[in-house]
Amino acid sequence: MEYVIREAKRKDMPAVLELIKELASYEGATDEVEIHVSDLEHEGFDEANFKCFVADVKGKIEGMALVYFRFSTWKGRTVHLEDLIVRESMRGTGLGGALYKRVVKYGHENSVRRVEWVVSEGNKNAQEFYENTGADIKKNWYTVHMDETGIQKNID
Amino acid sequence: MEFTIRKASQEDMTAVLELIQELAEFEKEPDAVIISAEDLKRDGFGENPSFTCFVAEAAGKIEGMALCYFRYSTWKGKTVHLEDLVVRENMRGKGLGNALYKRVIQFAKEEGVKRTEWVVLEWNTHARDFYNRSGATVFTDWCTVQMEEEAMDKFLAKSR
Repeated sequence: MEYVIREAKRKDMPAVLELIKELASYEGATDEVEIHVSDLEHEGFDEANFKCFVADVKGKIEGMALVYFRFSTWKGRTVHLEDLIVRESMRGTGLGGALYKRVVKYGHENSVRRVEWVVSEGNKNAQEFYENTGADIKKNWYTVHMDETGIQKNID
Repeated sequence: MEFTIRKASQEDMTAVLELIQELAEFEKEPDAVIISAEDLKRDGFGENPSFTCFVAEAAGKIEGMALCYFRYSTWKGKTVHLEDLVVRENMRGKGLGNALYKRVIQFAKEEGVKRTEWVVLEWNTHARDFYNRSGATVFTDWCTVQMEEEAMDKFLAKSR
C-alpha cells in the first residue's frame, strides 16, 4: 500500500482529533476527550507545544503520532510519544511501524538520549513489539495524576 | 524552621544537581546522572526554557528542589509534569517537601492546566499514600517505556 509519513499541518487537525477520539473510545473513555480542533491548532502550531506526524494515504489521514519534548534530570532533553494511532480499518498495513520509526528518527535528529512513552499493562502485544525494537518496559514506575479537583483541593 | 520557596536562578543549578544526584542514589541508580550543572543552566533559562525549577532555601542554603515542565495530553491539553521533587536527607520532615509540592500545584493552577502528573516507584508506598491523601490518583496499570540512545541508533540502523 502506498502512503506518506509527513509532518502534520494545521488543516490535518480535524482528522487527528478523530483518531484521538477513536483511541479514547477503544479505551472506553470517550468522555475524557476535552480538547477541540482549535486547541490542537493553537497548541501545536501557534505555541509549538507538540509535533505531530501523520500517515497520509491518497490524501486521507489514516494514522498519527504526537510527540513533544520532556526534560530528564538524568539525561537532559527527551522525546515523549504521547499517542500513536492507526485507524482501525487500516491496521496491519505498515502505517504504525512507519510512524513509530519516524518518531525514533525525530528523537535522533534532535539528539535526545531517550524516547519514551507509556503502555497499558494488559497490552502484551505492544509490549513485545517495543521490546523487540530495543525499548525497556519499566514495570515498577507508576503514573500519578492529579486532576483539577485535586489541584483545587491543594490550593484552598 | 524558617525557609523560603522561590523560583530557582541559574546560580542555584550546582546545588540542584547535587540534589538530583542524591535522589538518583535513593532510587538505586547512582551512575544514571549524566547531565552537568552547565546543561541545567543552559536548558532551564533563557528564551525557551525546557523546565521550571523551584527551590527551598533555608539559612541561605538550597535544601530542596522541585523541577517541572509542560506536557501535552491529547485528552486534556497542556499539563504540568513534576519530574523531580527532592529534599536533602537531613532536612526531611521539616515541611520543605510539602511546601514544594504545594508550590508546584499552585504553578499548575496559575497556568490553568487541567492536570499535574508525575511518576512514583512501586515500592515507595510512603509517597504513594501521601499522593493519594492529597487527592492524586496512582495508576498501577500503565507502564513507562524507554528507548535509550544506543537502542535508538540500533533500531534506526536496522530498519533503514
